[in-house]
Order: sequence, then C-alpha cells, then structure tokens
Amino acid sequence: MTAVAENGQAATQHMVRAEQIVKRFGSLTILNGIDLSVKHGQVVVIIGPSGSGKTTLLRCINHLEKIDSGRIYVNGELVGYRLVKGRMVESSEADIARMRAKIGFVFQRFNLFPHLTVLENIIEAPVHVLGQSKTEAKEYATTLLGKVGLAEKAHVYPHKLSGGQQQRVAIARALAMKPKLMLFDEATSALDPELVGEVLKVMRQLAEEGMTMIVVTHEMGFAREVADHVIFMDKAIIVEQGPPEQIFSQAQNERTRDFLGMIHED
Amino acid sequence: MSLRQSASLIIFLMGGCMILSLLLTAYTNVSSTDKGSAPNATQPSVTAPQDLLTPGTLTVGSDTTYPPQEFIDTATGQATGFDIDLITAIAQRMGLKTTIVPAGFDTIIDSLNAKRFDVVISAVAISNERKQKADFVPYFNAGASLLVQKGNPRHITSTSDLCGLNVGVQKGTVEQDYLTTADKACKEKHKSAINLTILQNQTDVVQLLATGRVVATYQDSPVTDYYLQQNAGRFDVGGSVVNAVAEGMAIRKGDTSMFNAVQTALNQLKADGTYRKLFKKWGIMSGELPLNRPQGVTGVFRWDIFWQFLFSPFFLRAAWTTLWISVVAQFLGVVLGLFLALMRMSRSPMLNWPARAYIWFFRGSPLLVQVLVLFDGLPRLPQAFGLDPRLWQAFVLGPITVVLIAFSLNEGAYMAEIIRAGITSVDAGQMEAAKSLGMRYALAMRRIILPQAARVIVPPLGNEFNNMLKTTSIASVIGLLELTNTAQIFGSPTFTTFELLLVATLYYLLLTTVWSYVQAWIEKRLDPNRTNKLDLQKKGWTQRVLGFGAADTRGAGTLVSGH
Repeated sequence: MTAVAENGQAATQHMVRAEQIVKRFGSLTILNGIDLSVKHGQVVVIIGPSGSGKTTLLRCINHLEKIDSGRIYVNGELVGYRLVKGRMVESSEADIARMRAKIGFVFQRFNLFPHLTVLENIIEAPVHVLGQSKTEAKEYATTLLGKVGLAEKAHVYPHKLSGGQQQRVAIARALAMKPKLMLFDEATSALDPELVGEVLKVMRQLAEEGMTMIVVTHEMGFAREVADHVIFMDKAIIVEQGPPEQIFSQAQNERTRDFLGMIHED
Repeated sequence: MSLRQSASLIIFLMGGCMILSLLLTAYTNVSSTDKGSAPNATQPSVTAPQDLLTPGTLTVGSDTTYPPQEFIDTATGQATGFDIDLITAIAQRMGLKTTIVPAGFDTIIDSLNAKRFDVVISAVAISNERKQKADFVPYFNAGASLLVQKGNPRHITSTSDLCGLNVGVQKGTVEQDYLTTADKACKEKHKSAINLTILQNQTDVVQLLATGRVVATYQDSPVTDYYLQQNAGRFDVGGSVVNAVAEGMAIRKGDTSMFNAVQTALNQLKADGTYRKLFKKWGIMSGELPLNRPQGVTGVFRWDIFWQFLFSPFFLRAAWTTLWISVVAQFLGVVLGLFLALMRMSRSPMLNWPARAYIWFFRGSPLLVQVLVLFDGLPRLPQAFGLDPRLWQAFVLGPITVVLIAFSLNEGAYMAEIIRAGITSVDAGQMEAAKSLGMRYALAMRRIILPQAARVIVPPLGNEFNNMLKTTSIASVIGLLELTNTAQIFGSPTFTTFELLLVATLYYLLLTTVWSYVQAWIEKRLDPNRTNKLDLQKKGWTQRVLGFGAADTRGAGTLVSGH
C-alpha cells in the first residue's frame, strides 16, 4: 500500500515494474541493475544464453528469490518487502503468500504434486488458499482442463501423463488462482520436441485472451509471433530490448546478433 | 522459519506436553498388585498411621522374587510369602487393606523415600548404611549362608574359600557387600579374586548354581535353607550361618506414626501367636512346606507351565501393556520428531541448535540409563541443587509415566532424523510450486511435502515401531509388568523362566507379525500408483515376515513428476 502512495501513477500504469534489481549469490552477481516494465495485457519474452540471469529475474518477481537491492512492484505493490523508515524489510510470510497467490508461475520441470490427481492438483490452492468450496473449485478446474485439452485426464495421477500434458496441467493449476500475471520459466525446455507445440499453443491462446505474461524461453518462433516486447539478457544485464521485429531483424547489439545467430544455426 | 512460525511451533509443543501429561495421569496406577484384606479381618486394634499414600490402604514395596519371603503365586498372580502374610496381618491390625507394589531390590529404599510406597517388607537386612536411609522394625533374624553343589565338592565352608571361584549373588544385598569384603581379603593374601556374577533376581542366582555356572551362591540363611529343601539332593550348605542380623521392615525416617503403628501391630502378632503360625506356615522353622509352593529345579522343559501361561490373563495383560505403551510412545515420538525435524531444518540457530543438541543427547545415551535416571534420579534433583528436599515428591513419577516419557523423548530423537530424511527426499520444486500458488510454509508442509515424505518415512518408521515393541522390555527394570518382566516374575519361583520367556517371545512375534501386515497396508495406501506391479499384496508372508527378497526401495524421487 505504501508503494502505491509513494509511486502513485508510475506504479499503477504497469503490471510489473522493476527498478535497478541487483541479485548476488555469494560473490557472483546474477542480476546487475535490471530495469523492467510490463504493461497490463502485454506479453514480454526474455531471451538470452544460459546463466544470463533471466530465470533468476523471473523468480525475483514472485519473490522465490530475495533481492539484494532495487525494487519490484507488481500491480503497484512492492514485492516481498515493505518500507520501514525508508529501509527495505522483508514482508511477513502471510503478505508474501497473498502476493504470490495473484501471480501464476509455470516451472520448467512442471512441479506437479505427484500424490494428487490432476483435478486435485488444480483445486488444491483455490480450496486451501482462497477458501473456495470444493464444488466451486472443481467446476472451474474442469473448465480450465477443457481449455488446455485435458478434460478426460481429471482423475489421473501426474506420472501417467506425458511431459506436454503435465505442463498443460501445471498451466491450468496456475490459472485456477485467477492470476493477474503469469510467469513462464522455460516452460517447454524439458519437453521432447514433438510435445513443445501443444504447450506453446496453450500459451499463445492465453496471450490472445489478454493475459499479462512474462515468458523466459528459447522458442524464438514463439517470441517472434506472440511477444509484444522482447528483452535480450546476457551476463546479468539487459543488453537490448524492443518489439520482436526490431530484435530479430535489426538487432543493434553485437551480442544479440551473435546469440540469435547461434540459435538459428540449430 | 519466521517468528510467527516459531510461536505456533511452541504452542504445538506445549499442547503435545499437555496431552502427554493427561495420558500419563490416566494410566499411572495400573501396575500394582492388589491384595485386599480378608473380609473377616480382626477388628483394628492399632491406630492407623497418618499420611498414607492411598487412604485406607497400606501400600507396600516388595521385590517379589525372593521365596519363601516374597514371591508371585503362579496360580493367582498375587504376591505371597511369609513377608506378605506378615504385612497383611499388620495392616489388618490397623484396619487397612494391603497393596503390594513390585519393586527392584537395589533401589527399594530410594523408592520408599520417594514415596512410592508407605513401607517396605522385602527381606531387607538391617545394616548401618541402610539405617542412615530409613528406620527399621526388625521382624526376622537371618544370617548369610552359602549354597553349594551336593556333597560340597570344593569344600567351601566360608567366604574365604571363594578366592578364584565363580560365585553368584543378588544385586544390592548385604551378601554382595560381604563378598566384596571377602574379595579384598583374597587380594591381600595374594590369592585370585572372586569372580562374581551379580543378578537382579535371587532365583536366577540359584539357577546359576543349578546349571554349574557358579560353584556357590551367597544369600540370607532362610533362603539357603529354602532352596535346599526345594531341591532335595542337589545342593548343600557350605559352612555355617554367619553375620546373623535382623531383617527389618523399612519405614521412612521421621514417619513416627507409621513406625509406632507397625511396631505395635508386630508386637501384638507376636503376643497372640499369629507371628509364630506364619513361621510354621512357610516352613521356615519346621521345614513343613505349604501347598502351591514353588517347584524345584528339574532341568526338564515344563510344557505344562508353558501351556498354562500361554493363554493366561497375566500374559494377555502383559501383551496389552506392551502394545499400548509402544503405540503411545511411538505416536508421541513421531509428533515430537516432526517438530524436531522442522526445527533442525530451520535456518534459525535459535531453533536449529536446540534440536541438534536434543538429538545428540538422546541418540547418544542409552535408553536404559534414561529410564533409570527419570525413575530414581529425578526425585533427588532438588536435593542435589540445594533446594528443599521435600520438593522431591513433585519429581516422583510412576513407572508407566517414566517409561512413556523416556521412550517418547528417545523415540523423538530417532524419528526427527527419519522425518528429516523424508522431507529432504521431496524435490525442492514441490515447495516452490506450493509457495508460488500462495501457500504458506505450514500449509505447504501439511498438504504437499509431508504426504510425499510419508512414503519415505513409513518403512523406517515401521522398523522403529517394531523395535519399540521389543524395547518395552527395558521397562522391566523399574517393575512394569510388560511381557519380559511378567515372564521373569512368574518364572522365577518355579525355575521356569525359560519356559515363560518362550511364551513372551511368542507374544512378541505375534505383535511384530501383526504390525508387519499393518505396515504393508499403510505403505500401500500411501502409494499413489496403487496398480503398481510390485504390489505388496503379491509379497508372500515369508518374504514380509522373514524379510527374504529385496526390499521395496523406491524413493519418492522416482515418483516426482518430470524426472
């Protein structure tokens, strides 16, 4: 709340706004002063070589990682911290959880709950975090499963599903919380090539519906077609950013061109 | 862990303690053997002492493994013997009923002082050392004498003949002291030391002689005479009775009303001939032996005793005691272990270090020692720290309370490590996924992490419970009538401890076998993939009970999606 008051307009205009984020692991700097802003309904794709810090940036946005300095606002609210006399103090566990409940996160390795069926996976958080009734949660979960094309798999355990199916369930699970923002962390990297398409299709559909998304990916085709804005990261900084046609056709920076060249060679 | 989590943790722990204490109070008074007075008791002629533990009842401590003075009648399961009859008659004079509490001899005076009973009658020889700890009303004159093999092949006539020989004696008796003195004398004369075997029960000591493990046993002279008569033609007395001293009923120092009441009642019994009749009844003076008397050492396996006890209420009750103590202690151990595991895994040193210290201590010291410290050591704490010694009553815990506390605390340390391993085995991505869905730590633990950890925890937990069922035998040292102690107490007067230990073994096997099936069922329930080809149903009973074949070692890791 303090954040809104302090940052007024700037914060509310954007779904995500990051200012000068620095993240270190020991002596290693993973993020070195990142600025980022994502508007409502925008799809931002982050590309870059391994170890460039793109996954860490994503994890900082829902506070799975603490930051060493800088500020992140989601929907005008300061993420993970509150300001006490001008100093950043980590928020209470309850506040952090409340904030995370509004942000969907899709992991590279799905992280479905193996002891629960597909349907139970999806209704777990709506029932136990949002306090929805089971009937209500199941109804919405069934709708979502239909949307990701897995209506008939509701009572199956995750290990019976292919990777692509698991990832689609994971997306449905995140959507069940009715998030305002979806974060995708290399959602297709752990999949066999023939399964990538079905997951990208769901993501594309979501983008078309107007969901605000930040997508870390190596799928350049997806970035080119779906992204409103592309960010290229390397060595802990944002090297270059802009609309996809600019990044993919007329990249200004040599590192960007090198990276895209290598990708296209594959 | 945040501060708020620590706070809720503490509240949980406190709740656990309250449940524990409730359970304990509910079960504290189960182990005593009731021995009501005859309905046609003589009119009370002695003023009853004040401050009885239980009003209207004289609570008597006795080591009931010492025939003919005190032992368990195998037909009724009740304490009997000369001493028991005498104290019952004394209580009748006071208009009181009698409750006999079985107790270990070597700590019996401490237990009296810890107010576990009102009075002790247990063939306690009066010595200067003991007189410092309690007051005694003498009721029996006994010396010490040696029991040896028939014909006394080693020509043993006194303790000075024992240098270099194997000798048996009961723990905590004056004879043990005498033998220690004799041993010193041996060394002073540059002879070999006496090789002592010191056992808890007198009957086991005599058994040593019967099986030739020792060449002599040293005990009170009436006991020597008794075993001599019981086993005609097997034993002889070595030498004559020495060190004749009186045995006394022990009474807490300063408890004058009790002392006077016991002394007066005893005088009355002596005057009216009851005392003498009891002597006759137990064959201590005349050699006449009563019915239902203990059998001698025969060396034959007593199938009749085995069958008689196999389905006897004594063993059924003992099996029940063993079972419920195990279940309660294991349950509390798991609850405690869960909190310790979470504390141990916390990054906060305030939570982390106490848990580490706890686990270090309880895994590093023997359970037997923990039980004895709680039972005998705790009441002395106030004195040791210079507090009002009267405070010790607050520290006197009953045997069941002691066993439950010690077992739960000990088990908690082991379960902590098992649960920690279980939690660690769950992929870190599971906690991240739960958190990213807005779950808080406690909810994620309860709904996501622990159910998955359970599959890794249950097999070793099953092992722990299997062990727990058998570890309850440690409770026998403080007189709890679980399976092992029941076998010992009922077996000792008839020299059939072996037969009854076999009975106890069968009960242990029954309990552990039933548990192995319960465990298999639980493991099956926890398996999300119930159609698994390695289905536990298809394991034969030999495989499950005897452990043939490879164990099902699938960890949670392989079940986590995405691997």
